[in-house]
Order: sequence, then structure tokens, then C-alpha cells
Amino acid sequence: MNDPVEEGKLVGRGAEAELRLVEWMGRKALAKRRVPKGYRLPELDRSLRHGRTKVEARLLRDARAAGVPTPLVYDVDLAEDSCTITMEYIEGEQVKRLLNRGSKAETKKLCRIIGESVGRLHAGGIVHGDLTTSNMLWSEGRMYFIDFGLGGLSEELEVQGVDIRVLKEAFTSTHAQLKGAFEEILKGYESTFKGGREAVARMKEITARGRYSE
Amino acid sequence: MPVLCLGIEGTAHTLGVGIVEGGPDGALPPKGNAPGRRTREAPLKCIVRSNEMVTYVPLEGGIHPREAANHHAEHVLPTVKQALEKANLTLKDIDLIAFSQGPGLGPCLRTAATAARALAASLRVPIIGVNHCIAHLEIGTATTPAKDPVLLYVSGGNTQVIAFVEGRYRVFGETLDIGVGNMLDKFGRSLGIPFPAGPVLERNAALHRDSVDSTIPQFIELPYSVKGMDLAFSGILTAAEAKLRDGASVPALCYSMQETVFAMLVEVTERAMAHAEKGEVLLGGGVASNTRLRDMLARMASDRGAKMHVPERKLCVDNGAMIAWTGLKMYKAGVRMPMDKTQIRQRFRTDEVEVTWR
Repeated sequence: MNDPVEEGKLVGRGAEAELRLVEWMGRKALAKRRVPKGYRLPELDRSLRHGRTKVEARLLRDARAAGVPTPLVYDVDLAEDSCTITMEYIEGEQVKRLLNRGSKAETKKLCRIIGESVGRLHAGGIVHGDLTTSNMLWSEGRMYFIDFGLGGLSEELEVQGVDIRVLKEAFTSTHAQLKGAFEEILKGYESTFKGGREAVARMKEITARGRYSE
Repeated sequence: MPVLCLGIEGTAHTLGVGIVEGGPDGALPPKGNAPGRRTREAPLKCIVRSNEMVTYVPLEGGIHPREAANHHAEHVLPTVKQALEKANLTLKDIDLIAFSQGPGLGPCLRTAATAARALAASLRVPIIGVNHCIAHLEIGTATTPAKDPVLLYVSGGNTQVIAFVEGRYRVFGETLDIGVGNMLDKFGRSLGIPFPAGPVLERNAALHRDSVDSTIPQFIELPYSVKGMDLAFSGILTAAEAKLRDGASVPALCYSMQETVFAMLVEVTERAMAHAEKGEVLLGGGVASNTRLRDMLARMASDRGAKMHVPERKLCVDNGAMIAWTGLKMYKAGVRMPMDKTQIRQRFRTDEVEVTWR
């Protein structure tokens, strides 16, 4: 073996899961385990972790079929205290970090790809549910989407509108300094998704409905 | 420079008048002042001299904006007097007037703003309009050890997760429909509980948790509606009301509703903390009085090695002191507001305010 994996090494901790480097059938892999949350009721906790693990495994596969790169799923363990997906290890960088230091031209290109990818998801009947630039990885010229646990299958305009609203809110609060970048994302989005224009209009309507919009 | 600021809060049910003194902090100026570098003024210390409030309680149903505004108009002068008395001051001592400029209900905001303008004009002192949501965060960092927290702001009308990033208070998550407190009040109304319903729901939930009656299901599943860092509550309300009509146990529903919506709130707060890379969380707003919510948030914080802070109750709910303190801080940082820029803003967004005072 040329690249021995330090078994079980913790490589990341998100808000809801622990990521460990593991070996799977001789390959370097990532095990994502949704850890129990002590603050919430055990029954609710179990049902959320179980449900999201299942949804995520399914959407990782469906997204790839829709033309959006995702890590390959090797194994899903839904046992009560496990809720673990073992998947391909992507050696890449968070798009959030790339955007914070990239050049103008590079930013434009990345935003375009973000938009095109989200468009492909929606065209394929998939909503992501947590579109932030922390959930996009750049690796060898491809943009991988991860963290589908809040997603679902839907072609409803309202659901798509909410999905891109989440993206807008997260994007403009994390990358406040990038002017015009979100417009670039929308251009990409409308280029790969026929219903894109309509969904963007719905997003604006949802925002206007909100508690704080003028 | 002004040191005594009188703040008037009037965004919804509560009319509050607070007087805050900006004292020297006692902290030494930053070390190693290189020649030619301006010595920074020592940071202000927040001394709450008084913090008086009256709350409009509707006879039935939800808040009626005009009636609430009439209530505020009736009470604003006596409350100002009371705040001055408590602080042992007279109007002549006041150096600055601050008021809640938004977001909130138009008639209520207008009443508070009109009173503030009249006071400022007659005393010939400056006036400053303050964003109500930001004031909740500012009073929290001034009166607790929190320095740069994520704020979970939960009240009747407002539900937001806010943090300071790149010169502004940014909204990381918020409700897509109604505020969580408003949802609890509406659910309370369908149970015949008067406003505010939160404390009664909390007692019911606690009774149910401790009950040993095994014939009642412990937990009734309700929709769990988290969209990224945003939340939606109206679906839960509809589902809970439907279960009520189907004869579900009231205490079990109160319990399940609290467990579900608080888990949603804590989850999005945790996500915002991870995303914004912050190690502190501050709880604010009227719903912050709920013990179960506090416990859940504290548990989340300690599990991730973070700290949780909650201001004292009178500074958590809508109050005049937080408006006074924020106005004072803004004024000290050079913010000025001519009279014609003091129009109220019902949908004043948190992230519109350029924060020059941090």
C-alpha cells in the first residue's frame, strides 16, 4: 500500500457530524457519522439523524446522475448509534476558502459553476437544503457538492425558491465583500435549469414575504 | 460628549424607557502606543441607571397595532418620569435621546419616535434612531462576558441568528414566516391561554415531562422545519392545531412543541457558530426566559467547547436601556442623525446598518 491511512483520524467536525479518515476495501475513504446531540430529545435526535443519513446517501447518488460531482458512496450504516456514510475521500478545498482569496476572474468562474451545478440539481428534481460554500469542494478542476442531509426530491417551485434563498443568504453573509458575485451564480443557474427564471422570481417573492424585507 | 442617554423602546407590546450612563471602563488604554499613534479612548462601560417598562396586553386575540400604540402614547410620559426618578435624575441631565427606529409595528414605532423627537427638540439634545435587533446584541455584550457571540434572538415578532462579520451584523438565519414567540402565542390562544402563552406552555410541558402516566404518549411528532439556517414555524402550528382537534393530550402537545421548535432553534444556532467560526453564543428576546431553551442552548455550547451567555431578564425582553446603550455607543463613535432622518422603518434589516462603533 502506498498511502497508508491513519485509521480513524478525525479530520473535521461540522455542526452535526464527525468526519474520519478510514480505509474501505483498501481505499482511502471518509466516514461521516452524525453524532447524537445531547441537547435534543433522544427520540427526535434518532429520527433526525437516521432520516438525514438516509436522504443524504440517496441524494449523493442522484446528484451525480444529474451531472453534479459528489463523493461516491461506499457504505451506509443506519444502525441506531451509527448513522454513518462511508464515502470516497475527496482531496479538495472548500469553495468558501477559495472565494475568499481568489482573483476576480477566478471568482467569476467559480460562481458560474456554483450556479450551473445548482441548476443541474434542480433540473434533476433535487433540492440540496443547505447550499453554502462550505458544502462545495473544489478538487482537480471539478466542483463537488456534499452535505445533502437537509435535501430532498422535489420539483416544486416553492421548494426550489427556498433552496436558492438559503444560498443567497449564506453567500451574501459569508462573502459580503464579493460584489456582483451572486448575480453571476444566478446566470449560471438559469443557464442549466429551464425553470430557473421562474424559481428566481419565486425566491424574490419569498424574500419579500419575510419578516424583515422592505 | 454625552454620558447620559435616555432610550425609548416601542416596537410592539412593550413601551420601555431606560437611562444609561456611559462610564469609563477602568481598563487601561491599549499597551505600546507608538509615537504618533492616537491613543484610543477607553471603552465605554454600560451603567444602567434605570429601566422601566409597561406592556400592552390585548383583552382577546393577538396584538392590535393601533390599540398598542394608544397604550404607549398614554404611558410614555409617566414612564419617562418614572425612569428619571429611579435614576435620581431630571430631564436637564439627559445628554442624548435614543429610540427604536425599527423593525416593528408602524403605529407603535411612530408613537415612540414622536415622543423621542419631542423630548430631543425641547431639551435641545441630539437624537439617534436605533435598530432594535442590534440593540439586543449590544446590551448582551455590554452586560455579559460575551465579546463576539452569535446571537439567537427569539421574541414574539423576531427570530434571527445574528453575528458580526466584516463590519456589519449579518443575519445567518431567520424565520421565513412568523416569529417563534408569536407561534407559541397563537398555539396558546387555541388552548385558551392568554398572552403571553410561553410561560404557561412551559409549565404544561414540564408537568408532562415529569408525569408518570404511561397511557399518554411522551412525544408527539410534529414537522421539523429547518431550511439551511432558516426556519419556518407556521406548518408546525397548523399540525399542532390539527392534533389538538383530533384529541391529542394538551400537556403532551405543549411538551412536543417546545422540544421540536427549540431543537430547531438550537440546531441553526450551532450551524451558524460552525459556519461563522464563533465560540460564544448569546441568547436574547422574550423567549430567552424559557428554562428549557436555555438548558438546550447551554448543552449545545458546552458540547462544542463554547460559552453561552444570557443577559438578566429585564435586559433580555424589549427594554429602553438597550436602546439607550446602543444609541450612546453609536453617538460616541460619531454617528449623527438629523431630525429629518429619524423616520421609522417597519422592516428595518439588521444587516443594513453599517457598524462603525466596534
